[in-house]
Amino acid sequence: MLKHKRYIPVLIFLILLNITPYFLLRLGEALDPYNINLSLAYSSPSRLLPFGTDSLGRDMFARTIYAAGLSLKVTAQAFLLAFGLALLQGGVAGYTHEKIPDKIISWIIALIYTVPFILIVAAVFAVFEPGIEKAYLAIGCLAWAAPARLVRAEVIQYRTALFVTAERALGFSEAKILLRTIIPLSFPPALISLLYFIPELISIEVGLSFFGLGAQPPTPSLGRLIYDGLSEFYTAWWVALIPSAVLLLIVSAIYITTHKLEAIVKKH
Amino acid sequence: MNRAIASVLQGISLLVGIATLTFLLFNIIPGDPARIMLGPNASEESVQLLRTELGTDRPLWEQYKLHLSKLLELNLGRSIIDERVVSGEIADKFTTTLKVGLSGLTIALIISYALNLLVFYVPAASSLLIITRFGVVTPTFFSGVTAALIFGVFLPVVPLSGYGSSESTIFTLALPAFVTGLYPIAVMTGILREKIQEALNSLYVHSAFSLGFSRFHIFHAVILRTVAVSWLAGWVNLLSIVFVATLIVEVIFSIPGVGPLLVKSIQQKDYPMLQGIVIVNACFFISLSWISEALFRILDPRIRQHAET
Amino acid sequence: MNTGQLKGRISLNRTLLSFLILILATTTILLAGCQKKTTEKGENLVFGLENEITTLDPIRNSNIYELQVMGQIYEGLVGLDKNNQLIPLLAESWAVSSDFKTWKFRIRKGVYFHEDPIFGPNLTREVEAEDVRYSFQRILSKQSTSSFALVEVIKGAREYQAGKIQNVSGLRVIAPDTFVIELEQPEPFFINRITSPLFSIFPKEAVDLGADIFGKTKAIGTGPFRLVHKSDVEVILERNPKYWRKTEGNVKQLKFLVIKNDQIRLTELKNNKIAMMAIPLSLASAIVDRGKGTPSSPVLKPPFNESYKAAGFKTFNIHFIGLNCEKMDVHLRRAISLAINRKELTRIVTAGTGTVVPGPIPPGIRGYQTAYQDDIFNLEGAKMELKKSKYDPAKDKIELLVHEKGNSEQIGQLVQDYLSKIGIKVILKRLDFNSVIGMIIKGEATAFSMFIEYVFSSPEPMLNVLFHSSKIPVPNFWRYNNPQMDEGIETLRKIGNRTEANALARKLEKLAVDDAPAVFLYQLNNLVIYRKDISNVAYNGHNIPIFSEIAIK
Repeated sequence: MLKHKRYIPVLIFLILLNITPYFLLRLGEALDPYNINLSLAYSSPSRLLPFGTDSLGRDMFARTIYAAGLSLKVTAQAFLLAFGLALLQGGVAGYTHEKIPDKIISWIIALIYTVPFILIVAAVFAVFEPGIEKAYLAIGCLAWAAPARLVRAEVIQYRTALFVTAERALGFSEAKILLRTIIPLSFPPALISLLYFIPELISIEVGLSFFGLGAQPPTPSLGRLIYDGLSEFYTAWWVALIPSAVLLLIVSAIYITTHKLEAIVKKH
Repeated sequence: MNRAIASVLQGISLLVGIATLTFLLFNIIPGDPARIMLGPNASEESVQLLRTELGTDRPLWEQYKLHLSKLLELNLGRSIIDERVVSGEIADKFTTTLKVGLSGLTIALIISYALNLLVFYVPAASSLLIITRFGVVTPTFFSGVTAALIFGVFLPVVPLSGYGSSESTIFTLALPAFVTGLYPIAVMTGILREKIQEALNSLYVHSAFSLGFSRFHIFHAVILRTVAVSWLAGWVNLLSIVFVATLIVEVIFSIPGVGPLLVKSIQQKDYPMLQGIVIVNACFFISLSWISEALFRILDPRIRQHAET
Repeated sequence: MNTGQLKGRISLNRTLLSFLILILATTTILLAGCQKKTTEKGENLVFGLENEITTLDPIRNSNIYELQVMGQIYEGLVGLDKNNQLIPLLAESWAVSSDFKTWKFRIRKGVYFHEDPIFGPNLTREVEAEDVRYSFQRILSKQSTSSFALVEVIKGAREYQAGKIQNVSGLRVIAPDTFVIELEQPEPFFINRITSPLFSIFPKEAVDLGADIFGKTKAIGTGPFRLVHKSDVEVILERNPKYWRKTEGNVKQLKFLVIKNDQIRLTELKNNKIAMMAIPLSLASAIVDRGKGTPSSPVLKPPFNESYKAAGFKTFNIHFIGLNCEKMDVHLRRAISLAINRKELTRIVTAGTGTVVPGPIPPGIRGYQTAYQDDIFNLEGAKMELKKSKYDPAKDKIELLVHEKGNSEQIGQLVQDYLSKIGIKVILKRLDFNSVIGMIIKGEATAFSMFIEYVFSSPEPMLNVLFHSSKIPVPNFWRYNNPQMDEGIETLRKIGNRTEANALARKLEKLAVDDAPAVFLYQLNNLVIYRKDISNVAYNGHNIPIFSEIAIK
């Protein structure tokens, strides 16, 4: 199990990624992001209201924290979904290289790459109602394609490797070989590439809001806040700037962490 | 030869699959094009009359067969909204999109080259390269609107609008192309830097230095030989990302390309137009992947040769 | 000097040279891109539009921007001037029969279509009654987006649309200069149905060029400007030297530039790339000083007030919350209507560019004075009505549909807040505009935020389409069914005297507000900002700018 030690930081990171949103959401709710107070509308940042208020007088501090939590939650869920799908599909495809399941899955992957993502997203939201709860489905269903390709490539390489042949000779079943040996060996590149993809996942969520398919009013998500704020930029610069800064911060932090994690994992 | 035929067949099956998937997704999205065209004030009778005229009240299976057969005849049909010819419209808009995308990639090329040249001579400037990371990290919507804001309000040195109008010059594309190029800048700069650092540590570069070759000469020799291939690989992958970025940039900067056309065709539920866009787009990318695969096969033996020297 | 040193020297020079070239290239590019402050002096006017112009074919109109451009190229039988007075255009005069069913129009002589080779060697021809008949018939066709206004009004139109007859029987040419419209039912107000540029006259020769040309590269009418060039993002018009009417303005070239992003459009205004634009809501608070000025003469904040002026115009629109009368009883509806603070809501949502109008008839219609000048906000009254209704605050909730247009979401959130104060729980559901319309038509919507931009210019057709029971489900979106209202609307068909008709219309309006099938909120005014040297800027109630009268010093 020595070879798995280098994955511990990655695991910690993933756990953090999934837990932090819940804390943020709780905190945000406690600070009340929904209360409309029209007399305070468009107040600039002050000591009492560190992030100011929006057009309806709602506390931007509470809304931004809640929004950050929500966006992270969606991202984390989409990540898990995408990773799971990538492993499954990529693994099966690579293992059955040149046979029918591989051809079907590769075909589906090519399909996802070429159909415009707006169309897919609009359709997913038409089936499940628009709303931030189901957003991870739309995002996850799109994001698994690229990592799946990587997994597939790795699995193709490994299935003809010497030690795999040895395992077969020893009588291990195909399924066991696939699950116990090949997949754990193949997922590093997919994992790393998906981790690098997290900023993309967040920006897809932001993009959804621009089409009105993200969080529904009055629920705040980072994408929603930025989109609403941009149209009021001249009047109240903080309504767009602060969620944007928070977004940049989160994405940069994740990016730098991923960079470091990659270095750790690749050291071997 | 067999491989070529197999690829073509695969391509065609892919296109049919894409057309089918597009049809399915399109019909899941609610919205009646007849009602959308005539607006909320029209009576149900009038709308029903238009539906029959457009053929949208036929059973889905029939509609699917109709669209597919037209497609196989290479006929992209006419828009149901105002009857303009789909292929003409798309050809027009797609050229614009290509221009924007290619300009973005060119700017990225120039900037990543220039940045790396600078860092090569002034190693202390390597912290500059970190700024390029922003291209990876920010969503295109965001960087586009921010750029519009910065260059509009604070630094009015480039035109902000008017592409496609009688007043547009080559510089009208400058800002949109730059925004499109942000992601490629980051990626290309990174790849180039990695390769150069690798090369700087290699034996033959060390010997080149000691032989008195100029830094300039070495820099270019390294790029042209070792990096071209990995850059090329990067390009093809980049193309799909750049394409999406281009669509977004078009919407922000009012550029009449495929982006706004795509959004409109979904909103108006104009199926022939949407199918046209998706199919042309798909053909474009399928042919691109063929070309890149072929290029790799040609370049491959050359790489092996280099490794041996 | 040995080889090494020589090579070193040469390489140093090469390095410096390449750097120099790079810097020079970059600077050139930046400098060249530097915005030349193009001075649009002379008689050229550039207007910034918010969205694309897909087509200039009147029957395929889908947005207001296209309509604004069309209003310069085409003309109908009649129109509205800047005071919303009815003016004769291609119809020199008209007369209506005593039963208000037959309208006879005298077509003006000496009006010519814009010059174009399609008319043969003369390049043009005179407008005749047949052109009018042809245009109206085309407007009534199945694909026409404006047929809804006339298809149930003109005799034979329904049958024509259904394909049962070849020509609309109610459109008749009596002589080359006489045209007759026969109606299904009496309407003394019919003339006010056709004042919008949607009902323009165009030549058959142009339409026969096909959908890829007519409206896309060519648009031929009789108006004060003719089309010179059109692409999706730019339209160039030129003043029509042979225009039949004398106009005050001096604009020779009128250019429309599409700039979708609001901030970019404002910057282009400052850069003098455009000289005039409508002020969108997103920029209103930043540009307009709400403390000073009036709705029709707004005052701009510095630095805008140095080089620009602003003007406000009332246009025929109403924003409201529709309430499904089949799902909500009248007391519940009244409670909702009384609980909403329209003044506050309008102030916040429209940043001062809206006028509170608690009734369905927008102010500005000539001769009509709405029965309501003020908000009817009454929290106590609301609570009392709520008690009388079947609504159970413990269990019931109301689903309010909102969409992406017209501040719908913001209105929804405010309404949610207001109604919570009297114990009504509102859940917001956001769909795209077309889905909301779909749900309303099917009767599935309980409450919805919506707006109407009226094509008519008098109160009778407005009351008819919104409240007559025969108009359920569309445009009677709230499924309002009141025999008293129906009776009143039918009576309006027989009143020829305008003052009398307006009085009855006011009574019906009061009935509509009391029964609250909808909560009418505000009318959005059209604010325009333009360069100081431009004068005589005016829009009519249909939101059409009258560029032919604009003068540039």
